[in-house]
Amino acid sequence: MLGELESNGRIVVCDLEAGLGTLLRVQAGQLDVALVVAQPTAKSIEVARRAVRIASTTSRVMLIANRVRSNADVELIREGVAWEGGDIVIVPDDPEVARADEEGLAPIDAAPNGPGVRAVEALAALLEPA
Amino acid sequence: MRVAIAGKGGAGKSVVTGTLARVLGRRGERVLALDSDLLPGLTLSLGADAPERPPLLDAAERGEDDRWRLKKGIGPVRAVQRFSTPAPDGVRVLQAGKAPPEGTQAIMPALQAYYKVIHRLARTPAFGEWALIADLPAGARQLAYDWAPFADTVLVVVEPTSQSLLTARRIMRVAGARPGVTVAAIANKVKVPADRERIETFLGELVAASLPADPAVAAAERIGAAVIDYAPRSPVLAAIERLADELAEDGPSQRSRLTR
Amino acid sequence: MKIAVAGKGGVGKTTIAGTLARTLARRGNEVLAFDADVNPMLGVSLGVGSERTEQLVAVRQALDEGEAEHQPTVEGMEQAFGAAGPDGVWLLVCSRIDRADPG
Repeated sequence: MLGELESNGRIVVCDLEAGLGTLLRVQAGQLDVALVVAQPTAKSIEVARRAVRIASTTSRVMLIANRVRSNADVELIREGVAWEGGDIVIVPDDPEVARADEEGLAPIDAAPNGPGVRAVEALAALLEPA
Repeated sequence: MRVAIAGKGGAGKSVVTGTLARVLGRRGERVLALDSDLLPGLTLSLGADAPERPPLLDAAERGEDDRWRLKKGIGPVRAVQRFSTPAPDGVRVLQAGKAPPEGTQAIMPALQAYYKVIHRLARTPAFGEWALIADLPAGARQLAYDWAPFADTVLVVVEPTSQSLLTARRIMRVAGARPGVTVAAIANKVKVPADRERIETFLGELVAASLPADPAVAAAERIGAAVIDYAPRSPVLAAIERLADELAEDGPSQRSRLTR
Repeated sequence: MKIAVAGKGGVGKTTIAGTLARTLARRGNEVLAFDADVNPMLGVSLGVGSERTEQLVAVRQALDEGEAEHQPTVEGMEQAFGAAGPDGVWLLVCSRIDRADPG
């Protein structure tokens, strides 16, 4: 299905169902990049660890450390996920983004200049086709 | 007591389920915690050890028609005796299984066995006095309710955020459509009184419990510890103790008691 | 290019996916934001608003319950279950997709 949606250089950003269900069904070639998101909690790290292992068999994977407040948080995620894929994309904890979520607003509208949105802009630059 | 806990991912379902189960266990109740999530979560919130492989893998076999079924002689009682795992305070945990990297096919027998067991629990007399506390998969999917068919009470955990409120409303509509089921909301991560009011206004009813935002709970989540072990003086624990009191009261109109 | 965002519920997947879609669009790309979650929220993080998101969910649900027409083409599906978002992003809410061809 994703393949049919992609056309003429269009980028498809797909928000998957929480957990591993969809990732387990993805076959090689169906995805270009899997962005696996973890925050500094044991449960989300455990899911991310599994998600990375599953997605790595079919596509490029990038690990996103979200809501990070310290280097200790990044290391907690790196170790828990057993990440060996190089750089981790860090999205810092941003109270303005949290407030946008709470209010039902898009962070890019409510907090465009904060560290959270800036980090996602940097991620976009990394992902863009050359 | 037959309770299922629902809510958007991250709202705090496992914390509520695990802490409630431990609280009841400490009070001397016979508690069976039911974990239908294919991802670890509830075992951490219970302070329990996770089994290496799903114990229920040994409970099922393929029949002549090639369909999975419980092995001969294994019903809900045997299944819990042999395939549930221990948590502190005497709580027993029955889990469907955790998805391995190769996919859910590998644990399908366990999932099938779990499904069959939970669908027979409500009419198994031996569990008449047990407290059955189930953690439902995240979200509002209709199918989620098939994972707690025995529940007479569905508690929906809600954070004071737009997405959590929208999800809670979706869930409460679906859950409320089942006859004989009491549905109530639990406010979680409440920072100020206005948070609780916002939840109650949006859902159009009072919440059954209000759990405050507590850095100690966040710290427990960070390392994967049970709140009842890591933060025994947390106001969240006190609120869940009160919730347990309410749930334990017998009699009609549980809904009005829960939401008064 | 096909990008998927995965993770445990509550980690910020949807917030990141929505923000990423808007950012890529602002950088001049044509972007389709695809909400494959059974509990669709992407519209909110994208800036489409809670109400419009709930409307799209209702359409999707009607399809699930057999009350709406299945769309025979991808374009038809995009129109029926989609909405225009800010910065030219097209939002598609469609977690259970039928095959595009009727066969």
